[in-house]
Amino acid sequence: MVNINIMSPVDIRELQSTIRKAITNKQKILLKENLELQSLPIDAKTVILDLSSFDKIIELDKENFTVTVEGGINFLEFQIMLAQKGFFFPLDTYASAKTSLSYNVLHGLPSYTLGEYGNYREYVLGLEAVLFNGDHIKIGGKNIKNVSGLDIIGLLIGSKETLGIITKLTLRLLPFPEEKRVLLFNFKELKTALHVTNQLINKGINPAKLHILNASGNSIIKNINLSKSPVVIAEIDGFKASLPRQLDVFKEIISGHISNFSLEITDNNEITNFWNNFREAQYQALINVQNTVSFSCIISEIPEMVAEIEKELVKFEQEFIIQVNGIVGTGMVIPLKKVDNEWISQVAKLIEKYDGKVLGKKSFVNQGLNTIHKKLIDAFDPARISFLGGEEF
Amino acid sequence: MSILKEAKNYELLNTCNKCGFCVQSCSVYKEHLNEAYGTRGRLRLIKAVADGELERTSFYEKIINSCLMCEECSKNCPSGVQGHLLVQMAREDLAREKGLPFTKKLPLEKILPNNKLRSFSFKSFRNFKNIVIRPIPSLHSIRGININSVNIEKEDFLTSYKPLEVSKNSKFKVGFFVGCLMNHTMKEVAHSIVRVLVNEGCEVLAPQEQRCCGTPAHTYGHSKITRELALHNMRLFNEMKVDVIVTGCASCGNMLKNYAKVFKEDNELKDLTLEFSAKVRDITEFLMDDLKISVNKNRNNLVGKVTYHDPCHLVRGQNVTLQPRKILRDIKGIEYIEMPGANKCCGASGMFQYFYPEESMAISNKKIENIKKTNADYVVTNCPACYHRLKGNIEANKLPQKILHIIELLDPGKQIV
Amino acid sequence: MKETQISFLRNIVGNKNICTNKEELLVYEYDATLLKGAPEVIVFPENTEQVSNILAFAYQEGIPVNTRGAGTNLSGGSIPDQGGIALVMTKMNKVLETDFKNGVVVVEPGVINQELQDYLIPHGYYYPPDPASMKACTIGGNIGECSGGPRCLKYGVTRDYVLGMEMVLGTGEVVVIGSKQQMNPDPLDLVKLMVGSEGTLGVFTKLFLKIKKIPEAKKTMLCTFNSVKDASKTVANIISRGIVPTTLEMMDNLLINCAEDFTGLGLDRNADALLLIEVDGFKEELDGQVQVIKEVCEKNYVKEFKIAQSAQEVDQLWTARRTVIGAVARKRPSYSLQDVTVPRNKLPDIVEAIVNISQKYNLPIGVLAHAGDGNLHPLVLFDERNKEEVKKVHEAEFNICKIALSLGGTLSGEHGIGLLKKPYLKQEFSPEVLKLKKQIMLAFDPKNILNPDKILEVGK
Repeated sequence: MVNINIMSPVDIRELQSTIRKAITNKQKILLKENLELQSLPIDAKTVILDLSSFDKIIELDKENFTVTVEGGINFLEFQIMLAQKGFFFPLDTYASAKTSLSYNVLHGLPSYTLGEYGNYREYVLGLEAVLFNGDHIKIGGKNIKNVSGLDIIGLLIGSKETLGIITKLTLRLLPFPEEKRVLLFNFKELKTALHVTNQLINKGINPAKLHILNASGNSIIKNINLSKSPVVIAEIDGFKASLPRQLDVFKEIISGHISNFSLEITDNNEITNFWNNFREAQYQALINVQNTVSFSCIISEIPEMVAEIEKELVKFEQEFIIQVNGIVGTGMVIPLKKVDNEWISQVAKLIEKYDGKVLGKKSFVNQGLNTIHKKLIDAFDPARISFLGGEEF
Repeated sequence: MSILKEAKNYELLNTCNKCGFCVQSCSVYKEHLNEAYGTRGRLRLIKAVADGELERTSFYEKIINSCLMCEECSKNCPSGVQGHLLVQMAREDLAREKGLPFTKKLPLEKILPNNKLRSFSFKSFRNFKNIVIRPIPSLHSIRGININSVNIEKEDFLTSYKPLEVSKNSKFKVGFFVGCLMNHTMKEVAHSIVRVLVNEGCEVLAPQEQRCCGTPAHTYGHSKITRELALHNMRLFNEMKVDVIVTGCASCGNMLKNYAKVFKEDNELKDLTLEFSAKVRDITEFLMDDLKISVNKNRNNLVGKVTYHDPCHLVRGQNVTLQPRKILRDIKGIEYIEMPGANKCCGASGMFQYFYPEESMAISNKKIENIKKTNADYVVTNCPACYHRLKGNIEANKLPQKILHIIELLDPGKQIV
Repeated sequence: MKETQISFLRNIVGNKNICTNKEELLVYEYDATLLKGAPEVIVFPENTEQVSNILAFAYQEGIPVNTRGAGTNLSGGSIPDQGGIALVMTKMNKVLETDFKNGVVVVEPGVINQELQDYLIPHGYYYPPDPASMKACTIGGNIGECSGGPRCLKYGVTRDYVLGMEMVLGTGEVVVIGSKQQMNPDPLDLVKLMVGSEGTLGVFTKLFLKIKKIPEAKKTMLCTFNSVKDASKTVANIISRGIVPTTLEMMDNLLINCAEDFTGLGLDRNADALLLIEVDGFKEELDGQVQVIKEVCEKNYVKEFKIAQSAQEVDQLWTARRTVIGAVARKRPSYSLQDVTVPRNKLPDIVEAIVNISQKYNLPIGVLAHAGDGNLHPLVLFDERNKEEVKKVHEAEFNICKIALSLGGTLSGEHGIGLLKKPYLKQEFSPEVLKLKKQIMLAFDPKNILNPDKILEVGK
């Protein structure tokens, strides 16, 4: 491993000067979290940015249900702190225990709860960022609605560190749901599980979380004795008064398709523990191989697509986890051991066959969009110091 | 000076704050999808003419005359701008400043107001239709108007009307305002109205001297003729000392009720109009609100599904929507189905259908589509103009539905099936 | 524009889809504001190809293109103040595809919001953004402005419901961004950027929208108060009790009276403030929420607390709310409308400030608010023919904007900047942000022909 050049600015001024220096010295810059999650060709010159000094909660505004927080704070710790004060920030990702809030927002990591609670743009009301042109900008505030000019917040979210670094966020909070349940079901076949869960939305059931895993996916569910067949995990939340009926409808849809095992977790602490374990195991699986395929797909195409991936990958004789959020259409294919490029490109090809998109892959095919993209980068990162961005996008 | 510049009128033009709520409610706009054909656009142009920004061009005239007078915009305007009245005002301005074209002048000034000439015209048309049009299918429809489907009476209702015997202590002395179209084309319906009223214990007077209500002249801004007709009709009915004036025509009813508004500043007519207009009732309104009749008996053994089309001049002009529906819901043995868009214009709008055939056709076709959706056996309405437009289109589209005037369902003497 | 340019456009769209009549130019010079500016030609494209050809030509010739839907804009954004082409999208008004399996509908931009709702409701679905003008405005316009509406307190704004679009770039190139997928994994989320871009970045020709199942039950409450302060406190308290109502709408006394004039529903003309509150969800969970809301109202001295008893009553209440902006014209001939937004707990402060401004300038100002999200619509009433008064209106509005910003608010919650709020933009943003916005606009529209100089001055 090369020597790595970690910079830990303590305030905006230091961050700005780090970025300005990178501009002058033609250095590339990226967030520290990337090192674990991806295998990247960094060198000694590369500036590895550690935001851990930006970890303060500036203001928890109980009247407006907003929180203003620095971006370097650990995402999960931030959520725990909010929960202690009785507030709920519903987004939750596989990396939330290990990465900063800014990392999650900048990469737009798909939230486990995307189906019921939506994406980052719905919660980020305001932000501060240091752009790769060296400017420090502030946009938005505590206002739930804001259409003043162009949506730069929306542009920064999910920009994958190509435009700048978010240093502070004002987020909208929600009251906690009165009750929640986690349900686990074994299915005989992955495809059936996907078909069945597809019906949930049409029956008016919108689980907060919904994972469908293939048989190998069992390996990331710890401390629960499951048979080695595909599994569905659902978290359903809501009001005390209506939750029982939601559960009934859910079970009615599922029944008749499940094979042998089902479990209902009702205790809130147990639920928290369950997700902590799940998140940890998924994260470990990811960093173990550093080459997984994340995808997004039209919901109705998922059962066929996943079935084909499952079938076609057999020839590689390589065990892998398929994890799908069935009501949103996002998912991952995680090999259990390192794989070669052929494997990756085969998965990508199958996803694209079903009009799915592989996350992080260049997707602007039009010349016009590429020109626009280049000009946008010119505005935010004229010296091309973003490690993940630059010309190769 | 143009009437548009008169202070009170000009002020009205300035009350529109251009929110645009009226535009989508305009059926003519929906065919053009061009702002000029929506009420907000029309008002902008009227104001431009008032301000001397725009001449009274032929395009302006086309826009102003393209209004259905269906009053949808007026009902949908939060600010209470009466779009249809402002268009009427603009038409009056056009009639004064530019004069009416011959194609409008002849019927409006000469034929419709004159009972004899009108009768003669209808009769001649009847002969022409029977001899020339009927045998030649290509002539059945002129500018989308299915004239072959229009029945024209050999002898009109008023000429043949003989008051039926009534009991001595009749509840109401009713003046029956028949209306030109019903008089010449729907004699049986007029008889039904009389029979139903007499059965309910009313004395019905239908003076032969009654003249056109004035709607066509008023709609195209011919205030002099409108005033003449109004004056004649009001004096006629007032002298008869009737308790109420009943009509089975939505447009006539709307006009008669509006005499009071149209002539509110006409000192000579003021008292007369107030007294007169207060007595006017649509037939369903009179039956349900004044007489409070019970209609749950099926009077002519009708079976099947019925749906109802709201004439513009009844639903918006007079706010009569519940009475006809109550009748249709209450009659035993038939099933009432509400038509989607029941209160949208049928596309007739008097002379509009002749001058704007494409728009009119498209609007009618929407109505036909909505009728199809109901799967009804009968389409019921309450206005001779709508009746003919719907009948013509239903027949041209070879739909199974039969069209009825609402009174026919209440008249045991009427054989429907 | 030159005659040859117009005949080129005529060849693209055909005779029936182009106008140069003086009469028609006059009716495309306005929107729902008081601003004016006539186009030189009006073009009604019928398909993407025509839009593409028009833009390619405009790009080549450097002609301004002002895209427009139903012209209900409240910030002057659709006014062709620099002449050129009025590109009217009303003829592209088809619902192209409904895909209930994926919860997506594909529409052309000229579809009217209400007509989309009417189309979806029989299937048990709806499209949550519901601007007050929904009966009149187009979906394309909603997306251009990122429209809100009463329901967005719980369900979010237009931005949260646009999954993707086919659009034509300033050069005429047709591109698709986003898709029918719930997530957009593109390297930069241009879809979000397009929503609320006010016609300055491109022309939408096809829109992929997210739709939702209609909740099985709802309850609508009407609460009146003796003071606006009590009502605003109620709003903040309801949310801090952990309830997110679908809507939390407020009207002050002036507007209650205007609404009553139009609808005649029997609203309390003496009340100082009215809250229209709606909760929805599963039927079992509503009574509990209504109970909490009632308690909060009572604690804040509610004058009357009423639950709507029938669907018809609910409809009537909403008609009263949706039409009240127009209904103020009953008081004075003109009105001007802002849509400043403040953090919810600053509602009492801004309302108080508005009352002071109203007195200071001697102008009647009505306050209508999507109170739940702090979005206010102060309606200043005046007569546009009185120049002296117009001057006062501008000053009063500038003050309202300044106060909103000083309370941590923003200039526009849902109407956009357009021309009307352009002068105030530098009060809200630093030079760096303004420069960035300008660069973004030039990236999409290098010749500054797409709704030129709206939002901010780009220049040639």
